[in-house]
Amino acid sequence: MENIYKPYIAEIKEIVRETSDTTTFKLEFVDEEVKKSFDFKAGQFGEYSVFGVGECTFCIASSPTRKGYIECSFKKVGKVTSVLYDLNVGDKIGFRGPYGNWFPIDDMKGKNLIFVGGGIGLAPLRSLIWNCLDNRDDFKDITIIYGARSINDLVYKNELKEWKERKDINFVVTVDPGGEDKDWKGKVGFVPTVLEEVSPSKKNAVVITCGPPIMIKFVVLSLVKMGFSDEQIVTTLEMRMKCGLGKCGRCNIGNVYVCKDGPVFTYKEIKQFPAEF
Amino acid sequence: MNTKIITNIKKFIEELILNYAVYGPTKDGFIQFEDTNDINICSENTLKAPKEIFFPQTEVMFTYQKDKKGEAERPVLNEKRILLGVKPCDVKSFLIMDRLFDNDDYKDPYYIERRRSTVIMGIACLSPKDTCFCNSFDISLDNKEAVDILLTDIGGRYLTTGISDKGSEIIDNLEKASQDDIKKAEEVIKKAKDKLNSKVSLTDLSNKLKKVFEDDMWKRMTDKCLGCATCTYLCPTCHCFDVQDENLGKEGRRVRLWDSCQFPLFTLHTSGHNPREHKSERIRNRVMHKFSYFKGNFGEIACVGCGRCVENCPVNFDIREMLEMVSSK
Repeated sequence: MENIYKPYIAEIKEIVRETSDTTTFKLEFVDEEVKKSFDFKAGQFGEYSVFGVGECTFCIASSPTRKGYIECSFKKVGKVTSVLYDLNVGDKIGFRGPYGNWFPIDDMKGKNLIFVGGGIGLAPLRSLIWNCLDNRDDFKDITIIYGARSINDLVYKNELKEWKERKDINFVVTVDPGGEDKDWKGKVGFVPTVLEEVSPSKKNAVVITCGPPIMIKFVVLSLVKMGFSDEQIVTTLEMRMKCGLGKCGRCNIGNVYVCKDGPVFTYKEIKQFPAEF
Repeated sequence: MNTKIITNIKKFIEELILNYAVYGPTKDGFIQFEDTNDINICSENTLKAPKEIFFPQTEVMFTYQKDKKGEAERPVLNEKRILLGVKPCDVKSFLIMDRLFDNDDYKDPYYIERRRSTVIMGIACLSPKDTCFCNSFDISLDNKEAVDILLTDIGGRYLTTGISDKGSEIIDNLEKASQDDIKKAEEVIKKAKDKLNSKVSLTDLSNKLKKVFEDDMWKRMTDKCLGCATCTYLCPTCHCFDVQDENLGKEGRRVRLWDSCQFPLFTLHTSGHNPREHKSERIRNRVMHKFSYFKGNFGEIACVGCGRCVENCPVNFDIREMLEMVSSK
């Protein structure tokens, strides 16, 4: 019987230091068969492990349209991420996944997409953004509003530049008041405020948002104020997880297991949850 | 039905040990009977439930060598097992765990491997305690579902019924039971049934629970809880677990360990946020999970009324009182 808890082995091919405590790995599976056959959808996550230290949970941050590798971005905060952070190109780690549901990309075709991200919460959105950009003709207008506490906390800086220059994206970047410097050319203000300022139309639109819980909360309030319906708002939730398969008992909100039934939910679904997250 | 009689249970088990790894009940829990001295048929509910035979407290999922990153091997289970002396409530717990660990969406390799290679020799329960409430779940004291063989103690002799083909084969050489033995077994079962008098009602409980999620009863009733998690460790259907790496020099193993939803660290995010920070929320989760969530997700209540949590709680928290409170709402 297949040992579903035995990870695939992946080699670190590239490392990008995003901020003082956040890093991105480009990973390739060592087994050629796995490398060829591995498939996932934007919004799914994995269990990344260092043998001898343990496993930790975060999303796949690259697009499923880019084959042969996956990328992940994480903040050095816990036991495993602290060790992961110090690894070098050529080191090998474990990966189990992909787990969970995904962004409803098929339902987004022919619609205007509004991405609202905060801090490292851009990681799951980035997977979907590139997925959409690689099939640009399938979607109408694309707006990306991204903010962080300060200039130094912005992640994927090279890609932000690229999105800024592209004519087929309306890209707005902001930092919290006090997070700017004198050369800063983006906006200054909290993400929900900037969102209201940009004021994208709700017509034929889907909003996909991810960031710190407090940001998501106020983004949703702004969107509701702007007339967006609960079904038009999509987000991805975070919970402490171990198995990734709905068994270990940690991540449930009521009878919904975030790892298996989520992590992607519409605001309509979230409103049905008991107040326990 | 293939009904036999065991006149010397010790001798019968000694013979089984020659061909099988035999696990049986002691007061504390189920252990492997390695030789004659170990053999014992505990007539009361064991302290620990037999779930650990299929879902051990520590499960080695694979081993690795730290310097050879990426090499991971899994230990192979290679034994034919007999699990002996399992009470009807605990047998029922296996059926509940099967729904969780062996379904169309999820196949737990370790659990299934053990479960499928184990012959279950159940035993009729003749000594229900006042903490037992299995009658609320319609579990019959001489349950024949999901056992291969059923034993009934009729005064030192055991009426032995082969239920499955596998079970019947094992007891094939035993002496045939007399009508008198069969009658005696019926009598002892009836007498035991009279001892059960739980009035816990499960009618519409799942829906009622959803309505009391915000009720202040959770805070009120859980005030005395110490958060020791004894209830979850002894419970035959609790199955929360942790995954950890254990190192011994260059060698290491990734293990799955029992964990408990009653510990605050269980759900603590790295950010410091904790969705179930207070014990009232954690106990609510345990009760809701057993009587509402699990039923919604897997079609059955995840409790068998064995009473272990009631009997062993250091502060006399009684889940039956909680259920009665919900029912009365």
